Amino acid sequence: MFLCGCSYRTDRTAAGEAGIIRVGIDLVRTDRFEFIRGVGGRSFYRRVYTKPEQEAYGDMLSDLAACFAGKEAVSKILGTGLSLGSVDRVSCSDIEILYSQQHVLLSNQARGFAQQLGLVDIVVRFFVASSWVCAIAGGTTDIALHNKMLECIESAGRDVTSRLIHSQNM
Amino acid sequence: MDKNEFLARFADVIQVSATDLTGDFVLNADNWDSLVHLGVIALIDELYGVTVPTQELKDCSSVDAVIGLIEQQLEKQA
Repeated sequence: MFLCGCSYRTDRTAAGEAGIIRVGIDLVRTDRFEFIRGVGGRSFYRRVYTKPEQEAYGDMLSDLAACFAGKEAVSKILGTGLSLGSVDRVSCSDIEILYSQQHVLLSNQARGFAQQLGLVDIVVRFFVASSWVCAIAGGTTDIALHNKMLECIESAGRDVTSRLIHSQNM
Repeated sequence: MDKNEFLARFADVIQVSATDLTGDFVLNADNWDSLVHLGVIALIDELYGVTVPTQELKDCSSVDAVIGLIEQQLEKQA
């Protein structure tokens, strides 16, 4: 099931080189997420989510899990993975995902890595299958590839969702 | 640091029985994923008030290595 999507786009266009699409995926089991969030306590909540995300999602488990998966997926297209505050790596709070406003906001290290990679357009789509939330992020160096990137993401999302449903029915 | 308290909470995170969690317990792809890393970093922060570097934590392959990393961070802070 398609849940919703977020996008980040700059005004800059890549010139001269063939465009590249990068795709990152993350899966979170909501019950497992809830447990880890509980163990990590306030520190986990405070360090993973930005203030606007905390205000937007409050204590809504499925939204918090989806937002976390989205951050992981974006960090994968940046080629870094997530950390909780290391200065030389992408921190969770460097990637802000507010899907009610349909946006991904990159700051600090995340913004720097995106610029190094020449990414001008970043999109995150969320899919839900049973107790799983799947986030798929796409990033491209050429805005002209936006629709192609969406096709890749939605095709991958359908594939992952059907596999998850199939595995749970076995 | 109170190792027993840490081990009890850590066992919960990686979903094993605390009695099975010896120092040489191996951390691998089945129990040591990115969500667990962030949960453990937050847990260490809650218990000891220190932040362990994410990559160094990821590189830990046993419980002893995680405890060593925490002790190292506590020494740095002292």
